Amino acid sequence: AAVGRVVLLGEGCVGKTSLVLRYCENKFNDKHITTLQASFLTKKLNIGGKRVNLAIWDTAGQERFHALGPIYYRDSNGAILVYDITDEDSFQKVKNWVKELRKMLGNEICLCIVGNKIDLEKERHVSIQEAESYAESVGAKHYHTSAKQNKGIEELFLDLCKRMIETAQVDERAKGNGSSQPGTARRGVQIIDDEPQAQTSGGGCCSSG
Amino acid sequence: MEGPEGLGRKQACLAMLLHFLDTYQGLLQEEEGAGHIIKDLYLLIMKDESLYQGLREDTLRLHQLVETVELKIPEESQPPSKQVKPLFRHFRRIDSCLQTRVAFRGSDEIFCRVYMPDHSYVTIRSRLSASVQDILGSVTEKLQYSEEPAGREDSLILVAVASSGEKVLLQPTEDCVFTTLGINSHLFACTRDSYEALVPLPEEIQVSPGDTEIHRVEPEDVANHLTAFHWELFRCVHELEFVDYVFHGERGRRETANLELLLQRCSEVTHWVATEVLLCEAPGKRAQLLKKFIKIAALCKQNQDLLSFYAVVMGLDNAAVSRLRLTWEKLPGKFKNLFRKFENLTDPCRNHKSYREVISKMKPPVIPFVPLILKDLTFLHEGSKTLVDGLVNIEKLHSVAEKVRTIRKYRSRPLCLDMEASPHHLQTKAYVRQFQVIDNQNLLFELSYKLEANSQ
Repeated sequence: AAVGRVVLLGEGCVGKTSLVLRYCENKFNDKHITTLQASFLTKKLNIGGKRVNLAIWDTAGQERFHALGPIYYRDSNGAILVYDITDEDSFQKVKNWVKELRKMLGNEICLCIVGNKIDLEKERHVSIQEAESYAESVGAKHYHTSAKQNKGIEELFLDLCKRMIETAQVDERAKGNGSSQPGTARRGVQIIDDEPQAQTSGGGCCSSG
Repeated sequence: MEGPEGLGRKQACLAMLLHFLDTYQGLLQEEEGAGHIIKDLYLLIMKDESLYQGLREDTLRLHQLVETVELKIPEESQPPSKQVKPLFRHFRRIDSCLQTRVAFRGSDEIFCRVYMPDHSYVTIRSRLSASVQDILGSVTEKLQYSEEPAGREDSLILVAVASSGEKVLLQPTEDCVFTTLGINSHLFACTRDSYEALVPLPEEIQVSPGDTEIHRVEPEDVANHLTAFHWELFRCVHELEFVDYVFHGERGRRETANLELLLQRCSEVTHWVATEVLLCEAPGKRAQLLKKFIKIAALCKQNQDLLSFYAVVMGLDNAAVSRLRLTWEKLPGKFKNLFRKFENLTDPCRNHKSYREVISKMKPPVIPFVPLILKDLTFLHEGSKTLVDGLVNIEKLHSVAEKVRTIRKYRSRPLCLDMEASPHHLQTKAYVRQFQVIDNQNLLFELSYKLEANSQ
């Protein structure tokens, strides 16, 4: 199966871990997870008959190490940049990440900007228009989610996955034309089996929408 | 009712208390309330001691512990003599940087500079745990001494300004802000209307052609001094700081000063590597420098100092450094391969599987890559509830405790490094303990583009 790697970036307390946990939830019970299970944040998807293993890299707890970013994003195909709609600073941090990712990886990485905590709409401090037009201006897609109420999360990951596959196909065609750059061989959704073997049945399949 | 069963229960309670005191030790001095409770318990237990001969041994230990915790009799106890400590970066002194690090406590007093919009500054003396309000109070006091017009202090605000110009307005109720500042961030006090106009202090570092310290020192010496220093800093972090850091979120953090300083140091090392490479203008020399840093990383790994190892590798992986294709091409194949191996070791793939395998084979003393411990703890904390149906989720707390015990294991044996006291020894030590770095990524990129405009 194809392997897509997604990194979650954003300030502390914006709800990155909650998002992933929600998404992969059926693997976890509420009461207890061990760190070993945490190592296998993966999800299997079936998109238009294509099987995709999504490996998700959470960076929670490490926000203060901006320097750690590159080791997470250097091999990613997609990035989910999360901010808290009630916290303007967290949106500013997202902008910083976008700048860095575009500078380093160009258009090879699919970017999603995610305004989390829409259950706190009343306390919103980041305007929808501003966030959406910013996302458009940098070639990213914008989503609204609530990890608490389980809103918008499936769509987010499914959409991202589709876009990652499209980007990979465009890349492949480009390679076929002989126009690939030698220095960037590590990128792209790869058809390799280095990800964890089948996890518990909980992974589940998403139908392609 | 008071049979042997009662004795057993009392012994169990006592054992619990002893364990608690043993774990917290000096940290309890910071909490007045804790002192009172322990004193009350102590008195109750002493009353019981006369009833039960079987408690004798335990109460003796309790007596000793309470004494070491210095909570014995508050009326008679003298406050431990408080020294004013120069803080890590924000107030440097050459003589102090060579001294062995001791743990910071919230009640420690430190010196810190607080800048004005015109970049003049006042130096205040403050408790490490002081709130923003307290800091502003001290600043106001100082300003009045220097005959500032009265009235303006009403609206003073405290702002942390990073070298990149990024500003964070600190709320009056926030405390322990000193240790959370970025490497080249500074505290500014200003009125609300001058907030927008605040500009960062000029960069301290100048591009200087010619040999800097890094070109003179031996990789072995640097690696050993890095390990020795990071061991000191790691030893200063109390086990509870890890738990506190994760459980109490960014705002409610207390008593995590030593952990914060260790984390800050990790960033500092990372930026140091990038800074040194990017300040080196001659291409040949720059490639030599890459080689040297790869050697340093290898030696740190050999020292079982994975914190320094990671920090150096991340520095070389800094976007501004890794894009220097022409420089990397000059590197001998052997070093290229070695570095690729290091990159694999830091690869987060399968939740840092390669790193976890390597560290699990190491025998103490080990300096782990601390941010990963925080990541694991964060995941444990956010991934499972502390209370389930009104009951404490013991399983979760057990997992947290288990993680913390690994830290105890890493530190269970003292570090012994074979270091010669050469004439350069002190100079290298001083160099390693206070790097001058650029932490402004935009500036690092600028330097990088100047060196190799069209790389990649």
